[in-house]
Amino acid sequence: MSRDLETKRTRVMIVEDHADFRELMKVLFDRQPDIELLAQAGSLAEARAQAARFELDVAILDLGLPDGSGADLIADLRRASHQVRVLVLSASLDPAGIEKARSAGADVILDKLTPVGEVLATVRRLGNT
Amino acid sequence: MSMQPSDFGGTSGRTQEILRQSEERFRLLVEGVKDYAIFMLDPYGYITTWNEGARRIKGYEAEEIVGEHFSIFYTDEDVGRAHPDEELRIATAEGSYEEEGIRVCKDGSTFWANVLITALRDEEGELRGFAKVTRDITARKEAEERERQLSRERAARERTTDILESISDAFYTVDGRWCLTYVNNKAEELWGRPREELLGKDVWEEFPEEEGSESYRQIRRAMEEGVTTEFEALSPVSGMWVAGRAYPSREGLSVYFQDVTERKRAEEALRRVKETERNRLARDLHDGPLQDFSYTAAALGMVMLQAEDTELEERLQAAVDAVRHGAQGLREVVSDLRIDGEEGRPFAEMVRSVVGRNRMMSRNMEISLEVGEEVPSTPLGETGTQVSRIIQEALTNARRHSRAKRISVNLRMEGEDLLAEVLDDGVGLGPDASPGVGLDSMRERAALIGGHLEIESEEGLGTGVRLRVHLPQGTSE
Repeated sequence: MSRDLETKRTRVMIVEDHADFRELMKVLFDRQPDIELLAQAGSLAEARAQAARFELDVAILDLGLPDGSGADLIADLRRASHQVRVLVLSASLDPAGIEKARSAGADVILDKLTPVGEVLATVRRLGNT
Repeated sequence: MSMQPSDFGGTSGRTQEILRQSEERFRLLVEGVKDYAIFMLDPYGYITTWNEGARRIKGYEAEEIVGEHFSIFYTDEDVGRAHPDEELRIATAEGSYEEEGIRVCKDGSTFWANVLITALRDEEGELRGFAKVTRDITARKEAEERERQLSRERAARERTTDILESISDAFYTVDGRWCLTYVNNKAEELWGRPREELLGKDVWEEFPEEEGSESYRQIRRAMEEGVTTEFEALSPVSGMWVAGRAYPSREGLSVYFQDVTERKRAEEALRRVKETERNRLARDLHDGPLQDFSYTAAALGMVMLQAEDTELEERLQAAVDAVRHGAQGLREVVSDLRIDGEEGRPFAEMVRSVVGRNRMMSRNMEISLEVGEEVPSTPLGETGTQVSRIIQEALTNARRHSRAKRISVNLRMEGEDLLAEVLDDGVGLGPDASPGVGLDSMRERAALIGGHLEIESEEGLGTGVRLRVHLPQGTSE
């Protein structure tokens, strides 16, 4: 386990416009030795800038961002790094938005109300595949 | 003393003979008059002579009537008020009495009579009786009555015409073969056609663009079923919104209509404001409270990770559940409020997404959707939005109030009509259904697109919401 940690920590970016939620995720990930929160963004523009600077394993995206849908980001992220996996955390039930995220290539789409333990497990699974 | 000319003293036999002959000729003349009843009464009103005219007019033979009192010719009502005696009193006092009135024949039939009663006095001025001349004026009276009736009808017609010409409704009538028989001022104005061009013509040949429109269908129905119908529709002729009614008449149909374009515009503007407001509300709830709920649930979840296997964990779990429940409720509200920018989406897809959202919100209900082959897959604009909204509201009602296990949503075409149904197997609306369950809103939306909404609900037997809306050709492009 400890050897794995040194060789492979899961590098994560969170794109979320709710600052408190983002902060909470940071606290959560900071406590995980095998996960490293490399970048945070509150909008599509910030997220594009961050994605250009870092090599990422997992991007956690909110769909409803001030400058557009997180789904619009997926193609850009893939272009920046092929291996990046995308976890969408959606607060909305709108099937059209969810369908858009799925067809844009989201790997997993979770309800924002999903227990944090499950979110963590999903990030780990995505980071290891 | 005597009235007999033969009693005059001092006259020669020859003179007497001339007088006698003259008297005889006069008697024959009177007796032979056919068009006038001429007879005499004694001072008390008893009949003493009779002539041919009297026989013809009143029907009595001389033998049976001479000696009778003349009140026999009067109606019970006249006799009741002692009118015959009154006539004699006036004639006695003034020399004669004349009137027009109803008299009774032997067979009980009545006629209009012109009556002249003249008092007869001898040289001493003593009343010896009365001469009565009666003429049957029924034909003249009837002609006068007909004339009065005609002029009353003419006046009524003129008044009606004045009213019809002055009202702000357009009005026209057609006969049973759809030929225009009346067109008022306002109708000329709204149609932009003078009545001279239209009267006597087939209304549908003059306005072929109307065929198939909502007003066309309602007006046809009024004629075919003999019922009053109402319509509110965009007129293909004038391009304005018209609202009106068609009333079956003896002749065919009477149709009133009004230009309601201004009202429609105002309603449309108000509707857009409401729609914008709903969307803003949905967005605000989604971006604000809903995100905060998600955050709070996650934050509590994290604290729970620290509190594993403690008493606190259980309490936190209850709090997390409450927050999730609240968030779920809020999502449903947001979803019900929002059909954002969907007017340009293909119609069937819009309905699928409405049904999809509702499935997510009620996992213990089975919601099926069937879309008939001929239902347009193209966007339906305003109609599409309103139909989706009505389906959404029907589903919201079913979800919240019906306790149904199964809900089915069906869309199909019947000719040019789109039929949309939402049926559930729940408890029904019952007599004390709350008025807030969106029924009015559904009806308003249906009216907005010229559709017809039926809601069938029986306690314990579920609820059916059925919408029928005409899709004129071309609207599906």
